Amino acid sequence: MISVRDSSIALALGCLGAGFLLHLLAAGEHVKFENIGLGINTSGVFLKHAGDAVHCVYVSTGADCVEATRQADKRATVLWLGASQLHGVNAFKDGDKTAPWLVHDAVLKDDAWVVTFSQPNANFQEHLVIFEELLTRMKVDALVLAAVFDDMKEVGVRDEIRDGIEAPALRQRLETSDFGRRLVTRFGRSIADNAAPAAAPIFEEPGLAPAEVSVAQGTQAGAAAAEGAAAPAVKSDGAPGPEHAYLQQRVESTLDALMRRHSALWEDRGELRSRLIWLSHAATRRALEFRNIIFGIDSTQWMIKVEGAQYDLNFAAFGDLLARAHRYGIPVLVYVAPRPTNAHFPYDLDHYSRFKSAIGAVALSNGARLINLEDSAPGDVWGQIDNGVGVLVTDVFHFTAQGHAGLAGALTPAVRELVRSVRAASQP
Amino acid sequence: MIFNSLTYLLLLLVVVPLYWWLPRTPRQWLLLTCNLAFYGFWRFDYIPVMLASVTADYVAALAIHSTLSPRRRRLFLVLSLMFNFGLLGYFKYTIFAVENFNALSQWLVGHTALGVPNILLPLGISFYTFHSVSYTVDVYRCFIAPTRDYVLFANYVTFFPQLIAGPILRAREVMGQLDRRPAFAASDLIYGLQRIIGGLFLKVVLADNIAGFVDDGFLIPAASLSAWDSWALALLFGFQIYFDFSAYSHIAIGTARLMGIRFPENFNFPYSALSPRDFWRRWHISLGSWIRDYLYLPLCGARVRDDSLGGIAVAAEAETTARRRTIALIVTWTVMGLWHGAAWSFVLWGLYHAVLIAAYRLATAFGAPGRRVAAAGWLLTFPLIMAGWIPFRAASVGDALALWQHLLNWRDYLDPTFLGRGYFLAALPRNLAPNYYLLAVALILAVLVAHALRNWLFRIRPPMSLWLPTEAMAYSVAYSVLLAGIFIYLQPVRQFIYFQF
Repeated sequence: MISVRDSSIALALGCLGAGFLLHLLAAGEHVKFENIGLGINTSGVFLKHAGDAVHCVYVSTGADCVEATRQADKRATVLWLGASQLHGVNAFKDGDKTAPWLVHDAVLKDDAWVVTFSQPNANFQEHLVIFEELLTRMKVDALVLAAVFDDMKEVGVRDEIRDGIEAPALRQRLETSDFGRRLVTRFGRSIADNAAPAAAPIFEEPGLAPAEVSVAQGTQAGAAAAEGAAAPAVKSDGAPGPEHAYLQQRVESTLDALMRRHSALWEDRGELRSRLIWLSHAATRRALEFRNIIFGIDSTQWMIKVEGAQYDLNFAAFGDLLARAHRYGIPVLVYVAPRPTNAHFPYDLDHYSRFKSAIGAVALSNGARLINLEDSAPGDVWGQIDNGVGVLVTDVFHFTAQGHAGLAGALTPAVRELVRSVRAASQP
Repeated sequence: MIFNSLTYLLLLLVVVPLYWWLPRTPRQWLLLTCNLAFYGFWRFDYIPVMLASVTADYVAALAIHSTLSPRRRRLFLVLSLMFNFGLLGYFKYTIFAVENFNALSQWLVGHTALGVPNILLPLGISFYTFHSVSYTVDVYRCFIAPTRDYVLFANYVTFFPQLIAGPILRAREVMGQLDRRPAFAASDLIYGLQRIIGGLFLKVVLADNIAGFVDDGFLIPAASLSAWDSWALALLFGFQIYFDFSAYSHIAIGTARLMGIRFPENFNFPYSALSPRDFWRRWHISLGSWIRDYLYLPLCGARVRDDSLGGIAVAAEAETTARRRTIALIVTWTVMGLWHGAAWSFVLWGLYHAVLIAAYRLATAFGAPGRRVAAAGWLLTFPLIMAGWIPFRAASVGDALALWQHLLNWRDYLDPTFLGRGYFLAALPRNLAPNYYLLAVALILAVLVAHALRNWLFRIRPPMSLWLPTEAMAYSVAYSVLLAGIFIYLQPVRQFIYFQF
């Protein structure tokens, strides 16, 4: 036992030490998570088209993109969901265009409006949530989905996307399928809900079972679905919507805002959390470098394992996403994302082949169209990336503007055909 | 209100000085107001339910005490129990009962018979019901005399540090302290702060960050997982719930101590237990002792002990038969499971522990294990306890059984197609990301190191006299890390797991 005096001194020193640690951490370099994994000399590019936002990251930050589709209401709206390949441009220079911009530009004369949402390392669970969330905000007449093998290993739904699940309208939409219900149970839990993550929701309102989402055909399908979602807020777990936030939430928000106003360090807490994650990545990298030196491992022949469990989960999300689009009468085009043709592809090639076959089978069973664009960016258009242990290897996800042109060129005819099918279905 | 929030810290800043400043009667009212506000921050409309429970036991205890007639005393006790467990049953088990009835009806006649009612489980009802019941039963057993002070009694049941998730307190442990405020001691204040800091760190830095892994892992269909994955998930959840629940207890104990009130400990390094029985003397001690005194021992027909050391005590074993004890054990653990949640998976969890304890009894029937055997007991107990968390966390009994099946299937542990490739780890089938395994191993090592630190490091004496003792220096370094971590991660993004019970 230590004395009260020594305990008090220890506590006071601890406060000073904590302040020192926090300032040390805050003094570090800003971590731009959106650029992590983009490779050497590759940057995230979100171009506007004639002043219109046509390419965004998240729904929460993509109000411009949503608003632009509303302006173009008469046109057929094509939603394109993908990962960082769509916004990562290697050796970017002024005048370079990304694939989303090029496809948007190409189909504009067909009276169609392509809007793209792409997130680094996006997985199909996240695409499912984004798709449903966008349906509550805009009409979607057709959907283009990128199938990226590497992203099948990605875990969970990030905060920027899961925050949307708090909205009752989106919850209601997601809960129309088993998989969606599981997503809501996992990611849509409000702090005030009186249910533990362990159990199924303790409380469900029987009279408020997920309503049938209206299924319409053709160009009106998306609008109908969006209207259906705009129905009055419905709670499914006893938690009131944000407009009836619990006292705890309201007071906490006020106190948090107060702290943010008066403490720059408090305001930066999100950044500090990012830096801690970054530090742990750096430590892992050092450990792997050390391991490679000790065991003489040649990391140029690196392999990335796509873990089976996450693969299965993301695949289930993919199936659910296609089934939903089918139910809403929204035609879908799925494409296998480009990959380098002349460099080491760091995956189990058997698994990759099975992935392509399975994607095709699920697409077919849900009335979606699949095209294989894996060879659409041939040649020396790929960037380079540090493979995590200090060795530069070919970046198998991101390419130069030339690669973007290749992808856009291969995809545009299929998108045009998709738009034509939308038009045909909307004819009386 | 939730502990891991700025709101709670603000509440403490206001209430603790007032508590020490006010004389007895206003202090009692301050506490009651604070308790109700603490609860009302969740939902005001469930305060009357809690107060109904308080009032019923206040009246019942006085009624029991007012008569010497055994029949009338028993009648008042039964009425009180019916009221308390009626409330608990209605709010906690109605939906479960209706769903099971509907499932049976569907199976028998092809359609469901009842609509599922719209009932929201009031926070902490299982805890405050146990508080109230223990008070009335203790008055019935003449262990304590009832109080005529309604506010004092209401403060005992609803005292905010323990209201939502315990520890489950007996009236004789705290009512006197609430009635007559202990003398102010700076050491209490320091100790309280220490416990709160430790608890917040466990919750916001450890438990909440492990939770993401656990939630993602249990979202994956069991068929996609291997034995190693199942172990990883069981271990991660085992640590999550330990950090989460012990964090709550730390903060509860710390908060009470800020007001000079001493709560009994609720955890004592449970994962260092050498046997299943030992585990239940270290885990949720207040619940173990409650269940023992108010359910297990009466079911055994044994004399009730007047202590709260926790666990299913065996002191009364000589007074009853082995068969009766076994039946009592099974009933007790079924109730224990159902107390945690209205789902068959919790019953499965309870029965699993009943089997573990029964097996341990059998194994030790011919004498206590020697020191070496006991040490080896940890190697057996730790994985068994961790495997036991699977039904507790799984979404359904089917999922739990599927994960257990992985654990019991030796083929699930090795992929023969990978053998001979010169890289042994490749032969261990795993379908989760490497982070899961790294985190699980890191947590086991961290707990072992924490245990070692507690036992050895603080005993080291430097060769020379220092300005501050080594222990205090170690504490100051620990506080630096803990406080920085709390500052970065403090946000009420997740409630405590035990809030659902």
